[in-house]
Order: sequence, then C-alpha cells, then structure tokens
Amino acid sequence: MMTTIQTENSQMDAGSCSFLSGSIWSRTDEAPGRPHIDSFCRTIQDAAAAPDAWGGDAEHLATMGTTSVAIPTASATEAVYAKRWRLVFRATEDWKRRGEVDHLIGLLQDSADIRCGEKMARRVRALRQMAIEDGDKEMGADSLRSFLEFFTLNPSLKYPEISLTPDGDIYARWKGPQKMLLSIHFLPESRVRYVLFAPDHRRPALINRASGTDSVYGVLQTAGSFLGRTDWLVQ
Amino acid sequence: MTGDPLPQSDHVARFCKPTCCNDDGSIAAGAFMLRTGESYLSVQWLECLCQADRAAQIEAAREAFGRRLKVGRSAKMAVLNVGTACSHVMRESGFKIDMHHQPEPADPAHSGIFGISQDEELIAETILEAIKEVHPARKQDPTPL
Repeated sequence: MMTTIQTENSQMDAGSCSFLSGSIWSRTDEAPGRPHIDSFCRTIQDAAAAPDAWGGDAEHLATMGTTSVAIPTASATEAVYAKRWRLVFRATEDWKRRGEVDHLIGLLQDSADIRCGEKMARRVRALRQMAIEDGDKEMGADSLRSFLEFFTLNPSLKYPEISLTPDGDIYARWKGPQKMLLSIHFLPESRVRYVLFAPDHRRPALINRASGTDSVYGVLQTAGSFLGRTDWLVQ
Repeated sequence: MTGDPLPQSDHVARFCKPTCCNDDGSIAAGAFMLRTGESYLSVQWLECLCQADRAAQIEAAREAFGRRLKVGRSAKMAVLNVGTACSHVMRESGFKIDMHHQPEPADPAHSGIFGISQDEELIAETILEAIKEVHPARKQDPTPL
C-alpha cells in the first residue's frame, strides 16, 4: 500500500491547519475502514525523524521544500484514514479552491480595463452558485484563470454567452452576423479549445467550420484569420 | 436491445443542466459535451416511453430524469430527431455520430449518442443547430394568483 502526500510546507503542526497548502489523497486500492493506530501528525513527525524509512523523497519533506512524498508503509496508510485528519485536509483543500475562485472573480469584477468585467463576474458567480446547488463539479479555478487572462489581453470584447462544461470549465460564445460564431473552451495553463463558423466567401449559404487548440494569447488572431472580419466581437 | 441503433425517424431528449444553459434559457454547447470518463451522452428515447403524444413523452422523460438526476428549476430538456441530428453533424462537420439504445433495468428508454469525443466542441456546436424543441426539465410550478 502506498499513500501520496503533497505539501508546500512541512511545518506540520497538529493544532493548526494554516500551514496546509497542499493535498492528501489515498489510492483507491487501499482497504478502507481500517482502524487508525496513529495520527497523521505522528506519521509526519516519524517520517521527518526517520526519513530513511520513507525512501529518498522524504528528505524533501524534512527540508520543508515543495515536494511529493511516497510513503510505502501500512501505518502511514492507516493514518490517512484517520477521520479527523482527512477532514482537516479536505476542508483546507476546499478553502483553497474556493478562495482562489473568489479571488479570480473579484479580479474580473474590479478590472478597470475589461469592458464587461462586472457583468461577466455576475454571470460567473451565478454559474458557480448553480453548480454548487446542483452538486456538480466545482468550477475550475484553472479554467477561470485562463478566462481572466484572455479578457485581460482582449478587454474590449463584447459580453459573450457564458456557460460551463460538464467538467466545470468556462465556455464562452459569441454569435455574429451570417451565422458567424466563435466559441472558446477555457482550459488550464492558458490553453483553449475553439470553434469557428463563418460563411463561405463564394457561397455564403455554406458555413465553413473549424476547431482546434490554441493559447489565450493567439486564439483571437487565429479566429480573425478564419472569420475574416471580427468587428462584431468588439464593443 | 442494448446497442441497437435508434430509428432515424424517432426522437431523443437530452437533459441540460442549468450551468449548460445560457442567460436567455437557450441551450449551450456544454450540454452536448462529455464529462471526464464518459464515452457517450445519455438521452431518453422518447418513442420508447410508450406514450400517446409528444406532451406525454416529455412528461415521461421528465419523470425519468427526475429519478436519476437532480433537476434544477432552470434545467432544460433538448429534443433531437435522430436522423436529422446525425445527418446534420455528418454533413456540416464530417463527423459520424450514432445513437444507440442503452436500456437499464429501471430506465428502459435510456439511450446514448456516440462519437462525440471525435471533436467535442465542434460536434456539440453543430448539434445545437439541430435541436428541434426545448422544454423545461422540471414541471413548472403553477403561477401564483
């Protein structure tokens, strides 16, 4: 059995969770419901005291760096199943994720440059609330960051239709004249998937379609070269 | 039987979560995109619900969705004609999608749209153009007097 622990700071104090900025999870092949014999804190302390028993990677933990540690001991696995510690970590993870989304929505709302920032922030907040009410996957902070980055680079774009994908990513869509369309699915790390529709130059009844992967930096240029005119995208 | 192709003249209803709908209540492309780990889109085969007319089929589909899913107040149901949707996607995007019966013990009309993963966003946007009807996925509360 093996348990993976990630942490950005190994100052692990049982009485506080403020130090926790990482995450902890167990492999699905571990047997659930085993009685815990040690607290997570004790496990970490033991590991720090005897890094050899943890394998080489544990030294990173002991030196308080950002690291990922593999613990090939049964007692460590049992410690992970200690309910209270699992809850502490889960609560910390939730706080981190939600706090980050709140922060990004705040940046969108307060941006002086982005024309529809406030309206978009309202919509994103409403979508997030709907996702929470429906028990859906939480809105992806990484996707929201790409969305914010895109609008920071292109602040004068019109307000798009904004929705979520089933995985909680942001999906923006602009409809133009003659069935023109630009849709952007915002992915982590400034990546996007886009869809473009534009009428054929010679036979406008035919709609040409394209899709692909790009970055938030280049997607509008890619769209411009396919669509021909992009004035309908700008306010 | 599982895997049987649906008749071209029949219809399917796709449940659309509120987050996959736009401000104005129209359906967004996310409603026809796959969740991680899914291999097809779940739909209800309306003609398999053994109802007299479309209104009764929609009501039966609502009940089927309600048994499986949490149906938000602003959730929608998009109705597609099998033949029209598949041929529209093929003609406009070049991708072949299929609809097959995927019955389950408690949900005999359950079916699937297959082939979405070839180009999820493009196919989803193209399917949107083939939507025949949109209905609320939850029976609307009566308007207060």
